[in-house]
Amino acid sequence: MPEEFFSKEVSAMALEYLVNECVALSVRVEELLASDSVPGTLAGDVAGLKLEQDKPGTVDFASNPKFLGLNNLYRVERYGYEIGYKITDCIIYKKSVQEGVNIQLLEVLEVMKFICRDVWRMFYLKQMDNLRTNHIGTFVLVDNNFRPLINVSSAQGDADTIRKIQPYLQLPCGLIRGILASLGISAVVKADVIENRLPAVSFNVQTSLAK
Amino acid sequence: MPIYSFWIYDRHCNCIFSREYGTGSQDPSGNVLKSTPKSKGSAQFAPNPSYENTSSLPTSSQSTQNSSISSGRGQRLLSSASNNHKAQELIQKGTVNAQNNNNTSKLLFGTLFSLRKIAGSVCTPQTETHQEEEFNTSNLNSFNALQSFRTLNYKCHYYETMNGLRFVVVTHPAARSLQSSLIEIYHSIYLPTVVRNPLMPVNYREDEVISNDRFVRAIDEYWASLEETLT
Repeated sequence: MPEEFFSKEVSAMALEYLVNECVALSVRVEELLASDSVPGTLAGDVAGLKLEQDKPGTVDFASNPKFLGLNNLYRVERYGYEIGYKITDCIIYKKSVQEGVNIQLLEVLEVMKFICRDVWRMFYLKQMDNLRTNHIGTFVLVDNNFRPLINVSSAQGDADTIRKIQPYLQLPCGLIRGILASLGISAVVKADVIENRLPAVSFNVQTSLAK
Repeated sequence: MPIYSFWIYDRHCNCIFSREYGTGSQDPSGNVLKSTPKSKGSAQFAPNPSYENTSSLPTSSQSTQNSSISSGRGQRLLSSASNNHKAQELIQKGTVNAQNNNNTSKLLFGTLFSLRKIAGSVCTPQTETHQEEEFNTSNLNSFNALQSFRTLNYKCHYYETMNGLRFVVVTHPAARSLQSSLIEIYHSIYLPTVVRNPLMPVNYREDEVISNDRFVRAIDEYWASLEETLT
């Protein structure tokens, strides 16, 4: 695999905007699917991908009721799942072949450590701050300074911020679920902001494997 | 060197953020904007009732709350005041987004808008080509841009970004040039808390204002820290 696959020279800001735009696009897709427009020409579909009063540069999509709808959350989670499912191989390759580290992912705990350390460093340039487990399949991964949420704050106050970041938290949830799935572990992942303390996030991973 | 007020106008010429600061009792001359205008320039700053209310009431937080609830739209009180006593004093006495649509705001914008036009046309350098001339009169030419204007009672500092966002701060006339501070606010407060925040718009509708708690707090802390270095 060529070296440049893991090139770090990508604009973090451009990537951040692109990832955030996933959520907005998902709301628009949701709206288009809900409308009774007949899917047909490409141009018609693209024009249909528009909310009411949806001017560029505004955040009206966030006040759309579909923004927090289950369909939207699930679609964004699905994006993360796909990414996670596909990228596991690349990360394992990078660790084992390029860096010469022999990784053993035989136990669930090892997999969790792999996510906390390697995956998180690759996606968010830092490791998870804490990993807790009850040894019967539940893991809590804590990131006290979750990069995508550092600048997020809603104009309507903290309670509204916590509500509106739910779709943005679905992507990392899906990511974790996808990586676990590709390693043969099925799990349910749920993300929460810790005690209203943005940008600290905890990921609750409930695996189905009883030890 | 008190700071009287701070304004942001977007490229559609709407005031998207306004912040009045109570000038405090430590400087009696700080009341110029509220007193009867003496100089011709400050006639534009004829006080509106809501502002007079806020500043003439006793300074308890209760009264600030009452007056700011009754006046204007979209404003909110700061939820957390800084530990700094001076910052606290600044924060408690003012209003946030209470004046975005009143005459003071519009006249201030109009003044700056005209001055900016005049600045570009009073003394134009000799140009040889058509392109040069076009550049000199366009927004891209920031060498001839308006920086500040001053009257007996106040000084008004102005900074306009490339895409038409305008930052204005009104201070005591003896203040040094604060344009660099406005640039710093743009870079270190506006960019991270508004532009890089996925839940904040960068394109404002007519009635929309920046009422983000974090933004207001950051602005207040910045001016409070500057106030200390200025005095």
